[in-house]
Amino acid sequence: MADIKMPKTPRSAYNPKRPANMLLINQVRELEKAVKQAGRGVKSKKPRTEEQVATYMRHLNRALHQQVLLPQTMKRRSLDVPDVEPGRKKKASRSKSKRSRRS
Amino acid sequence: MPPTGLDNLRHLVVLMMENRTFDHMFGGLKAAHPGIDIWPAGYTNPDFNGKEIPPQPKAEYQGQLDPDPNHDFAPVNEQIFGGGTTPDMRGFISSFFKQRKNVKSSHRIMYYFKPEQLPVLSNLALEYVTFNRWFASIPGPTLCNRAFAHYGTSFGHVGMEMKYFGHPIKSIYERLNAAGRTTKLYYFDRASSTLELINLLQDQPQIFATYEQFLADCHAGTLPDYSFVEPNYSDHDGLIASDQHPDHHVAEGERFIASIYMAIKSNPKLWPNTALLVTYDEHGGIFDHVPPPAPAGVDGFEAPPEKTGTGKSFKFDRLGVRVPAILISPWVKKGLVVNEVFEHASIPGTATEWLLPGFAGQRTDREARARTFLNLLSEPVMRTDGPNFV
Repeated sequence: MADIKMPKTPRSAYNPKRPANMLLINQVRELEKAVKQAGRGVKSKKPRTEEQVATYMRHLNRALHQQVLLPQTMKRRSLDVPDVEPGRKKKASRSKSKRSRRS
Repeated sequence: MPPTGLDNLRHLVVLMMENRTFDHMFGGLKAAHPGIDIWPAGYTNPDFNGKEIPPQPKAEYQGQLDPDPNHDFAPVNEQIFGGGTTPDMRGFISSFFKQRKNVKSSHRIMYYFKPEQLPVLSNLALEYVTFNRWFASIPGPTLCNRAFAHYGTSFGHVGMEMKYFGHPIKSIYERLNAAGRTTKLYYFDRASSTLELINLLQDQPQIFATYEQFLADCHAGTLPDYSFVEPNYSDHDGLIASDQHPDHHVAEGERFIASIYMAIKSNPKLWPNTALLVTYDEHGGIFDHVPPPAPAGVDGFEAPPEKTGTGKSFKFDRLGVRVPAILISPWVKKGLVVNEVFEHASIPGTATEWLLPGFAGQRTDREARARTFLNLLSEPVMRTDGPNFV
């Protein structure tokens, strides 16, 4: 059988600023709850876009892995998450500088 | 004596996409295969003005289903029953209309794809096995439906609840691990995550791996006995969502499906002994003409009225809306169309029947009674045809 060409996805399809659907929002909420229940402090965020959800989810994922799977001595109590919420540029800027100091 | 293909089977892979229906994705395939069951002549949905709107081949990859069509339990009830007591599948437009109050855009819920728009899914359907009656497990949203693919039940949930700790019914992954079989749930990446991470995190790293690892495992011929693959759920880090959830670009989902298929098919040591099931978790509010039947068995749960949002409880005695499902293997008959009823509980049911014969652990009656599908690997000689996607 001849090779069949797949449809191309235009770069314009990429829209990280797209409002996150309910599936993503729910998943973030559940992950957030799980991180808290695992004993890790985390200030709730309200990501609105897909990119914000992805950023936050990556951090929550890492935190959940660390909290549940790492030995007690390696666990951390609070989660440092970059500001993923819109309309908080001032805070974002402060937290960025804090992050850079830490690194 | 088992079919030859089943005798050769070493790996079962399940890929579950998001939120599309059979009629929506396969609506244009009837001309190429008369056995494909699409709507009968005269099937329409009334719009807000009472005008009858038929399905139309106007679906586009992106931009038509925004906002995301509602598919919580109560709206799906409306879509199925159309406000009446008969499941006539005539409430899709009225349900979608409520979101934007725009008559013209509400018609888009009746659009379907032409086969040439979906060369991957269409060709896989025509070349391998298409299920005419594969239904979502619940007339509701993603998470309760995906739970059926992992556990054979949603533990009484009809919404987006995610935690199923402490129940004696174990996921298919836990069952297989406990029996010394190998299994992996491949999620796209950590930013996309997997919806099952919360429930099964303790079983790292036995269970979880990423899409990149799936490709590597296919290349190395090290796939586990049973694999479940999840697409990318969001646009991030320069990557386009591949789950086909409205309003994500459907072509990217086509490419993702092709990548899973080609990763298996291009390894000559893997292809002869691997079966791939491609299906969708639920209908996403999009039209389909087949009224959902009752499941084969009951799981003993009941969702209360405050959870269903319909004013009535739900005893899990009706399936969700029909979704696309294709079984791919060089041991299935080309172009076979199956008319028996399947649902997502068929997935752990099939894996358990195949890998854990005589399974004595706890599972729902519903999963135990759900029809299994590996008997379809029935060709006496392995096929050497099948499409390649480039």
